[in-house]
Order: sequence, then structure tokens, then C-alpha cells
Amino acid sequence: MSGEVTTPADLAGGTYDSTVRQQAQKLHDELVKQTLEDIESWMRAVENEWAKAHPGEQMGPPIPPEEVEGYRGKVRTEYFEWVVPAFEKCLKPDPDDLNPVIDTLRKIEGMFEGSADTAGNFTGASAALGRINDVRTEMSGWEGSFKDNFIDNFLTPLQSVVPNQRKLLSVVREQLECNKIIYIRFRKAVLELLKKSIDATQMLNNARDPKAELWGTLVACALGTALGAVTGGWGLAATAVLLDAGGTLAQGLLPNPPETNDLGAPTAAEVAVKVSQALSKLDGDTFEQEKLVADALNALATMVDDNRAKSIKANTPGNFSVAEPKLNEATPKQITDGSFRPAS
Amino acid sequence: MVANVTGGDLYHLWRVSEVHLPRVADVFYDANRLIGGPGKNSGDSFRDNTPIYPGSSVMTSSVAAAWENVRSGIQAMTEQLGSTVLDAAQGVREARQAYIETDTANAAKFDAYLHDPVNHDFSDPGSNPPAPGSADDPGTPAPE
Repeated sequence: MSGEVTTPADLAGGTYDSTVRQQAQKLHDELVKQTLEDIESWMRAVENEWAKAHPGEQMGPPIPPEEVEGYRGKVRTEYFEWVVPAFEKCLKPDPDDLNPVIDTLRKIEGMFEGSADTAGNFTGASAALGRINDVRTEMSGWEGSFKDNFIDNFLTPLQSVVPNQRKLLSVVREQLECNKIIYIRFRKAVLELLKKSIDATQMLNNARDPKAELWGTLVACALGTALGAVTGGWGLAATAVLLDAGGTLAQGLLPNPPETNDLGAPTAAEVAVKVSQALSKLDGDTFEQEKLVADALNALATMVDDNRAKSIKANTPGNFSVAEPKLNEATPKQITDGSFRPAS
Repeated sequence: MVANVTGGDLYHLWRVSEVHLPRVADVFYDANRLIGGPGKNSGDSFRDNTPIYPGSSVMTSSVAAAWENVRSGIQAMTEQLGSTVLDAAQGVREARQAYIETDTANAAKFDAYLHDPVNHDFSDPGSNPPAPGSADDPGTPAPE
């Protein structure tokens, strides 16, 4: 259904880390530089206006140079110190941290590969699970109620549980793969935001007019429609929404999000405010996506737990569990008295 | 009255309880150990996105919690399957034992059948109980 999700090299591990750190530092420097220029041009503008309004008059004593220097120092060392730490927060999560879990699920899926035909014969990749058929054959030399119960309540259900499990594992894995895709897209959005913020700041250089710098957060994951068989047969809550890794990848791993946020502003200080707003927007949008994953996983967990609790309590076969055969509780006398006897 | 059994009848039961079912259980226990093993601790794999309680500045991940929910469910599921298979093997083992203990003649018949090289090859690993500690020995499930 879905291929492996691979993190693009520029968004993986150390490469991404160092890009974010460098670019965040660069954004910080640009903001400082531009703010100082903004202040100077603003001061000149005010002085010009004042001179026009008061022809021939002398302006009061200017601000002492050491105080001006003090204000400059403040801009350099205080105003934009939040920039780098704010982007450092975006270093985590690493999408590749999800690989071990996804690989484990894939491995178990491989072990359970196979299906049971209508005659109850299991065909699968695992030679050990193929022995379920051997048990059926060996038991064919026996008869009686304990034997029938052994086959109908234990052995045959065991065969249908295996494909169910495999399907469950693959659905769960898809949710985690979508989660990985969300993190990959998150990283891409962070890099884009840095790039566009720097552009928006540099744009103001030499007192140029601001231009729009548009930026978008994330493209939402596709929601599952191909999982109808699951919801029908297993009693998954009707309200549950599962994510569809195949459909999500069909969008492209890194589709361009709708660019709805303008980072452009007349001064560096205003650009900085917009950057900080954009970061919280990204945080919020990512949270909404993560919530979908969490809800889907919780719905699956509840479904499995309900299924298992019901069948284990009643000792009947279920979608994800098998029952104890009655033979287990039989006394030796019950067995040898004919309820479990060689076929005549 | 005790049904009449042959050595071959008992040999089939022996194959079911000692050779086949333990290997079937091993698949489930293997899955159980994978999902409950070292790879399970993925607390760092998810983004911290939710305060641990309303208003807290300490963050945790809602996805990590949901994953743990599913993961423990899958772990319990594979454990139940593996253990039920082993229980069923025990049931079949006891049935064989019941026949052997009601009549010493049955015991002799089974022994003779099993040790006749025409019927059973003790040197073929796939036709014998899995060796303890080998890859197809079920072993024990992962701790909850």
C-alpha cells in the first residue's frame, strides 16, 4: 500500500540541525542590523520634520553619544536574543527517531504474512505458522467432542487471527508513517520560514519598500478511505478517523503548503513579530495533525482492547484472540471415556 | 471403558503438543518480544506537544501516549495468543498422558512406536521438540 517514507537528506539529522542553527543566527544578525538602520532613518525623519515645522530655530541639545551607543548595545544584545532559541526548539522531533518502531512493526507484519483459505488451510511466509495445518492433519486421526472443540474453538480461529493481526499492524504502522511525514513537513516549514524571514528583513535594506513574503505551514495528511474493511469487521468506532499513508504520499512527500502568512512589514521589529507569530502558527498546525495521529491510535487501541476483553472474558474466539480448548480442563477420565478417542 | 489406542495415535498427539504447537507459539512470542523489547521505548521519538497537566509548563507527547496504548495492546495480544497455544499443547500433552497412565500397555505401545527408526527420526530437528534456547523455542514473553 505505501512505500517506505524516507527523510530527505537536507531535513535529516545533523544537516538539518546545522542549517537551522546557522540560518537562525543569520536571521538574528539581520534583524539587529536592520533595526539599527530603521532607528537611524526614523530619527533623521523626525529631525527633518521638526526642522520644517520650526524654521530657523535651534534644536535642543542632542542625545549624548554614549547614550545612543547604549541604545544600540541594547538592540544588539537584548531585542532579538529570542530568535535562536525559538528556532532551536524546532530541532526536535527528528522524523528518523520513528524508524525503529516502524521497522519493528514491518518485521512482525512479515512474520504474520499469509492468509487462511475457506477450508481453513493457512498459507503463509512463516514455516512455523504453516504447522497449524500439520496440527489439523495430525488431529484428524482423533475424534470426539474434545477434538471438535479443539479444532473449531481454537485451531481454526487461530488461523483467522493471524491475518487480522497483520492488518492491524499495518494500519498502526501507517499512522506512525503519517506521523513521520508530519515531522518531515514540519522541518521543511521551519527551513522555509527561516529563509523567508531573512528575505523579508533584507528586503528593508537601503530603505526599500516592503514586499510581501508569503509563507505556509503544513499540508494536512490524507485521511483513510481504503480502510472500510477494517472498520466493518472489527467494530472500530464509527467516529474514528484513520490516516492514510498511501494517500498522503500521493500528495508528494513535501507538497507546497498554501502560502497564507505574510512575513513582510515596513520595519525589522515588525518582521520579528510576524516571525514569532508564524512559529506559533506552525506549532498549532502541527499539533492539529498530531492530534489526528493520536486519536487514530487511541481508537485502534480501544478497538483491540474491546475485542480482546469480550472474547477472553467469554472464552470465545475473537478477531484478535483465541479461546482455550476444553481439552485443557478435561479430567483423565473424561478423556479416556470416549470424548477424545482415536478415529475408528 | 477406555478406548483402544495404538502407538501411532499417541504419536500424533505427541507431535502436536511437542513439535508443532511450541513452534507456532514461538512466532507469537517472537512478535511479543519485538514489540515489547528494547525498541518499544520511543518516548523521544515524538514531539512534546501537550502539558502533562493543564497549565503545566512541563510538556509530554499525546502521540507517544497513544502509541503506548496501541503498543501495549499488541503486546498483550501476542502474549495471549502464544500462551493459549502453549496451553493447548499442554491439554494435548495431558490427553496423551491420560491414555498412557490408564494402561501400561499403552505406554509401551507409544514407546515402541516412537523409538522405531521407521517411524521417528530423532536426529531431524524439525520433527523433534525445539531445543531449549534455539530460535524456535518459544521461551518467555516480554515483561509487561
